[in-house]
Amino acid sequence: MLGSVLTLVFVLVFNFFLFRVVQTDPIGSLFRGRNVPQATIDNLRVAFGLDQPIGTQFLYYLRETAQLNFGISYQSRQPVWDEIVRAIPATLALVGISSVLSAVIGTLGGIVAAWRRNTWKDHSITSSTMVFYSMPDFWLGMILLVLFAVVLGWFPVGGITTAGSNETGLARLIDQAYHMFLPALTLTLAYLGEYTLVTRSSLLDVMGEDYLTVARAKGLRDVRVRNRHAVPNALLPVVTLTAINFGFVLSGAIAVEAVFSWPGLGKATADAIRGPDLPMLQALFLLFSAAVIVFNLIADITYSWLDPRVEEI
Amino acid sequence: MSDSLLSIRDLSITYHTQGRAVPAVRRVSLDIEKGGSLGLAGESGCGKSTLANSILRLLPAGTEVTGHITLDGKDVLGLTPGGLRAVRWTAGAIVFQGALHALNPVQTVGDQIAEPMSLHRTVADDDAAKVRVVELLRRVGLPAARAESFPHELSGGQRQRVLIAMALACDPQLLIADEPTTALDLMVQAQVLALLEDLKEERDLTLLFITHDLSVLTYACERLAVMYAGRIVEEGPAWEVFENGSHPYTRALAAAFPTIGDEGSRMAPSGLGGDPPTPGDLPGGCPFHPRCPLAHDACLPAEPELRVSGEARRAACVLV
Repeated sequence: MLGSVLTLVFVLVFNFFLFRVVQTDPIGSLFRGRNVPQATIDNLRVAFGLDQPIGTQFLYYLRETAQLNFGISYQSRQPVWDEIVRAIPATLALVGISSVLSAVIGTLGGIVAAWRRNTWKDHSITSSTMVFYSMPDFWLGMILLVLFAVVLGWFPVGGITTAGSNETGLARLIDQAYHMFLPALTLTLAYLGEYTLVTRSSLLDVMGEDYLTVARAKGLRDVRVRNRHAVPNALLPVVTLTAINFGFVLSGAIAVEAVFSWPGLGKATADAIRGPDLPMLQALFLLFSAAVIVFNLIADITYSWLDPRVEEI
Repeated sequence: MSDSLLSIRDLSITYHTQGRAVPAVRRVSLDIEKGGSLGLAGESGCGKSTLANSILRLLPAGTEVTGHITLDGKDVLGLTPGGLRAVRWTAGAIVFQGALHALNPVQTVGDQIAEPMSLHRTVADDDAAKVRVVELLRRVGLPAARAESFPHELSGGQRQRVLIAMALACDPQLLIADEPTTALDLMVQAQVLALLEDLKEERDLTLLFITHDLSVLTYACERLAVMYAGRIVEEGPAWEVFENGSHPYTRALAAAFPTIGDEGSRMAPSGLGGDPPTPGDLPGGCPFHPRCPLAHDACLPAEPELRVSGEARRAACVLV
């Protein structure tokens, strides 16, 4: 618990200085080399606080961050926090659904593969998930995009709604789900392999344990030996993996969101890096770090709840 | 013997690992009458645990088992999967070694003791199961509150008691105790032995007791069988076999324990040189001859069969 707080403080400090090390000229990049009167530039420097010494800037940063004021985006001239809040639902929906799907399907696949080790089921599950796991996710996304959106035309090439449509309610939701299908498929396939491989090896470890022989000796059916005795023990590391992966839900899809022009945090990050839009990046990095820290804490708490051998936190 | 509870005839068990055939048990025949007790002794790797696990057919898939096992009148090797599950834990139950991970670390010991009761419907409902769990825990000398404990919260001796309580859950006729005192300190060993003795008397159990510790067996069992390289090399009444073994291997095993009152034996218990043969690579003739102090030419041509060596005694040695 204390560790999590300290980590957050460290991230807060590190986050400020990281972006000050990068030598950039935000005002210059704002005008992209156009001729602008020096007075205008100076005014903007004052407006963004860039005329202050670095120590003062740091204190400003701490004070404003505490109030969730991350400044004004260099690019859109909108408050950074508003931009982020607008992008959160799209990312949560896309990455959240993909994470849950990949965790559930991947874990089930891993269980079947381990229990039927060295059979055709095991080989087909392990090798197919391995293929997707080893592919870069943006590349997998591009292949699916070309195949299903460009060549076959079954799905839209990008975005979250059909351009120019003004549907509301259920129709709008269906339209969004339709747009989400390809990016969600990409992410699910990309995350799947990790769960399958971790579950499989964890269950294989457990399958050598004596308490499974004991369970069989008691007269339990094979399926019940698996579900009651083997799986609960094998899932402990998978639970940790799931919780930690959920920490990356917000930040995990930068490349895939960019490929599918999905208007979420990942695409916002990709756009901000191009600037670079320092206030935006600073806020995004802080948010991503906080999410990872919080979910690590959740992982620890869940683990201590599931495994009686671990002390309560 | 018609009143045998467990009867094993010509049992051979061969593991197949990486394309190699490894004979772990070779043509073993054994009988335990109802209410009797048999101790099975031998070094690690002699096949005694394989033999124990074969009685409830707990060996890994792909293991070749030939011969006959009759438990409580049922042909164990011929049972259907459902029939086999019904026999497990009711006709025969196993007291596993507590030092191993025989208890599921994420379930309370109470749940693990109750599990076979509800499975075999030997209790009316969950409440009755709870009552019986407490009874069993008390009987093996543990407080009722231990039902809520997880295995890691117990000492080695307590875990062993839990495993005994668990084996008694469905009132089995045959109790197979597989190294139940191994890895316990001497005081606890004695307590666990005394407990098994008491339970055997009180519940009229038939006992198959497996250990490498010959002195434990002479204390706990009426009859004794000594295994070497997958075969039984000597069998007979426990004390006679221990004190006056016919087979050189039995004598070597017995001599490995210091005799109480004999200072000399305590300072220098005589051991047996060398290692037991690898099951996949047995020496020709009598498999014990490379380590036998009495080996001579007659040991080499063929493996000796068990033959009568006294009243109710058998041994497999050319000198008998």
